[in-house]
Amino acid sequence: MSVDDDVNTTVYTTLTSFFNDLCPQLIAIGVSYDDFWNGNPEIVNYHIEAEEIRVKNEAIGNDTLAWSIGTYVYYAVGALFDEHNKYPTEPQLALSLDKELAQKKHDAEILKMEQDFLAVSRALAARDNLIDEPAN
Amino acid sequence: MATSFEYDGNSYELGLTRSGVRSAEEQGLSTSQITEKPFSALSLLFYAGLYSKYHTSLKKATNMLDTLLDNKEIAFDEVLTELSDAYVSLFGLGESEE
Repeated sequence: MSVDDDVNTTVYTTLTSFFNDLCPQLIAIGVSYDDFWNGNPEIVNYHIEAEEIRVKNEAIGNDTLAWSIGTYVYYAVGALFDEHNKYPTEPQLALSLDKELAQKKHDAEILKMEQDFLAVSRALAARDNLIDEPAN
Repeated sequence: MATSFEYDGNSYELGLTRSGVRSAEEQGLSTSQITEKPFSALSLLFYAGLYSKYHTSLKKATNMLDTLLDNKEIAFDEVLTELSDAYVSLFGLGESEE
């Protein structure tokens, strides 16, 4: 068995036989029967280009998913071995892709900063009162 | 490809489609014929170019072609080159032009 065994070695003597083999493959990627046989031949080329883009995007999506899973595993392992490492509380990629979710997170952070500031202010005020009280 | 012409008071435009090529091949068109027998190949290519849009018969297409060539409304070399290029380019379907 050689590497060439899997290569399609069909020799077409007419375009009709070539088209007959090609037709179901192109229907599978969304070309209509009528477009294939009666439409401008360029239509098929656009479908092929579109399919290439779709396959490329799918590959990028799958790779991103794999990378994302790896990242979460990395976070999880890090959190197991060191308590300073925290496992993310929200999906990381979703935050960067979903603007509404990112805005909510941002608002929550602002609210928390405000509450922390007020808490520190109250604590300082209370401390000052405690310090000042003996002087009074 | 956009060869257009007038015949018998009607406008026609040649457009090679796969069904046209299939029908022309059923009538005897082959790749080798284009180089070996260009005159008979042109009739079949011309018929293929009219097939999808106008559903003409081979006989009518041949008569049209003969009249157009006789009247010098289309040039043999030009229409043969255009149609044979379109025919052969269908073999390279989907290949990058880079």
